[in-house]
Amino acid sequence: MNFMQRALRHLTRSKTKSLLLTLTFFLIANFVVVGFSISSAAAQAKTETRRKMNPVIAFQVDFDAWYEKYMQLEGDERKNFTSPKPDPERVRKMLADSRVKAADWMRSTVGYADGFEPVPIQRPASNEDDEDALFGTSVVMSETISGSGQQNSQTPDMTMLGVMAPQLTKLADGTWKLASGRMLTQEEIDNGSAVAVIDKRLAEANNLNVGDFLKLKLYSDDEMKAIADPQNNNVLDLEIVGILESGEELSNDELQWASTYSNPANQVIIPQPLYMQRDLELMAQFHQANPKAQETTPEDYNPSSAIFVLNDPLEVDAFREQYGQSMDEFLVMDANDEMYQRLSKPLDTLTVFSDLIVAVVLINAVVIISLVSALTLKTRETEIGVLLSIGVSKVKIVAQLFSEVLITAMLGFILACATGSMIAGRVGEQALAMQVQENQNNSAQSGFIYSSASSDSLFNEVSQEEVTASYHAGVNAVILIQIFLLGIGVVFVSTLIPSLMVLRFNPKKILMSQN
Amino acid sequence: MLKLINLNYGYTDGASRRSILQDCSYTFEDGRFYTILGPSGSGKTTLLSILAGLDSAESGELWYNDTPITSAQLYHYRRNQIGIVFQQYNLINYLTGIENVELAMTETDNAVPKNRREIAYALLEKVGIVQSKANRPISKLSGGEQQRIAIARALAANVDLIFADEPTGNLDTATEQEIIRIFKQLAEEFGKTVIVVTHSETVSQFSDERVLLAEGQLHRMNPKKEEAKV
Repeated sequence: MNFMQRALRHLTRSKTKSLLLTLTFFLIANFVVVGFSISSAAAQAKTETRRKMNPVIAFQVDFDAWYEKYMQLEGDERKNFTSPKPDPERVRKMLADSRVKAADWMRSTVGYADGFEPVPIQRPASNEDDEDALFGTSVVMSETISGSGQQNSQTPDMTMLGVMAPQLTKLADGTWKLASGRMLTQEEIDNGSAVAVIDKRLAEANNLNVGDFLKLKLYSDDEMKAIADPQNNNVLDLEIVGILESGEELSNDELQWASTYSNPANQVIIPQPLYMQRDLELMAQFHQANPKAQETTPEDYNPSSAIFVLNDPLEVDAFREQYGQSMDEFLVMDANDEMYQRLSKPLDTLTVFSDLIVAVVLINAVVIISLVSALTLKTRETEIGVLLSIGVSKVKIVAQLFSEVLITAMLGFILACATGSMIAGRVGEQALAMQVQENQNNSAQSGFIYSSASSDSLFNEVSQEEVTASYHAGVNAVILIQIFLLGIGVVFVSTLIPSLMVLRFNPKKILMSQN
Repeated sequence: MLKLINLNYGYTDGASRRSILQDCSYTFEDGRFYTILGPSGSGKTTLLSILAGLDSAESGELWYNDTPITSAQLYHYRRNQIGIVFQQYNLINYLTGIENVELAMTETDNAVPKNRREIAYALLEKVGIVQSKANRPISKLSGGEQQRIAIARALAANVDLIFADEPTGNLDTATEQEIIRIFKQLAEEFGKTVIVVTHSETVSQFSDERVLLAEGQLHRMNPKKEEAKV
């Protein structure tokens, strides 16, 4: 008869003791199941929140923190305190990560059309009667603002999107489609090749095709006189390698104030190193003529942000964790954290409470079970003495005691899984509703209004209702495993003290003392 | 053969030290029924616990069949060489009689046939416990029945040394006689060495050899002459 058989017989034949112990574990386990279920449901709801959010990470300056620091500085310190930029080496590593679906690492600069016509802005005439506009009865007078082109070379009319990587987010999400040709290659970008991708509307307006050339001036003629010798090469002679079809339009509000260069049709995608090389040459001449002016360095041309879109929303935190180490203190990798934290707050509060309940209950469980086991042991001294006298090892005796407690614990835990699941569902949902209400009240009090990300941002908006709807407290396989592992842990710790007592037992003292 | 060589044992009682065994030497032969007698407090139970491997002597040697029993070997010794019968029976109360007997069979390293339950029933029958009683919970049995089961348990591990500490102390005269008969039979028919600590004259009369523990030494007694001395 091994220790397990003895344990089973002890449990089945000491029914009252076993029942009381099982009941104790049942009560303890109910609290643990409730705590775990709530905590797990909260974690799951957070995961769902993250899943609903676009998997976007913006590697950029935390301007709030930077400005706060800036305001603390004075004199030269303040003057020299420039905002940091994402370091290219880190960005390149991130770009090479297979989890990245697309990325915008680019710098936009205005330029001047040279020998072609930018697409003009169709600006609506200002409406005197807004009500008419609302009911669509007003006649929208189109006013064509001519692209400056050759007529007015002093006003920028084109936008150069200097890209550092070709896998742009708008191409990936379908906002932009290649109508013909191809996108720039990474090699062309790195080499600063004189190539460009233009908008279809610009191409059609100027009868341009893939393989044709397009000239863009970096500076106006007047600017060139101030910067460097006007005879110097200020023109980028670009071969068109691709034509994009973009549905992008400026809104009516934007059109009221927009300049020609801000027309999406007038965006030309070029390699950023190409722009940098040409501009550096011009700036070097400017510096030669104006030695007191601050020298321009290649670092000045690095983009101020890098936006990454990942394939999987659930990879966002891991990705950020991996690449966000030892960054400049004013740089952040923002994954719409403000919204995520706002949505997660009620869940986090719930998790803290449920974890606290679990911790308190477990500590109590260990103390109670230890005491019960120790007291029970006192009544079983003779049995232990007999077992020792017939040569049963102390390890086997401890194993028997451990098994007895473990079996009752498991029984109590199994029963508690059913009841705890029901309790957790009700308690959890009620507690979450209260937390959400409190969160909303606090937001209202602080004047916080849920703000959606700006229209050109890749971040999306997730409502608190969606998060709450994804919260379902209950027992699942993972919780079951957690509970049973924890149960084993509690039983192990609880039987440790009685076990130590057994190890100190002397069969002679136990058995001979009775005679 | 169980051999004691210069065993010493004692304990401190307040400021004074009390010696129980003082260079105690003795040899117990195989297949004999011994009774150890002595005045109360002479250390009979302590001696038995040392002989049964429940405790170790402070100094001296204990040999069984030419093998020294050291502290490290006590578990092995208890599991495979000896069986103990206590005055209070000390059966495990949540097991039945038959399960108590089987328990000893499970723990021993000695060769025990696979049909343990049948052997256990046979052993119990030999000590006068029928199958119906063997299957009862311990609490439903009389003192005499419990002591018979305790004897069967002591025998179950197929050991050659049986120790008993006042085994008839709680029994009536008729049952005492029956228990003595079993011990005698174990020695005579089965070649077991039976060493019984007792106050009972009845028990000692039937033993092959009576040994007196006095002043820390064991003395072989001539039944009639020694009796007069005690």
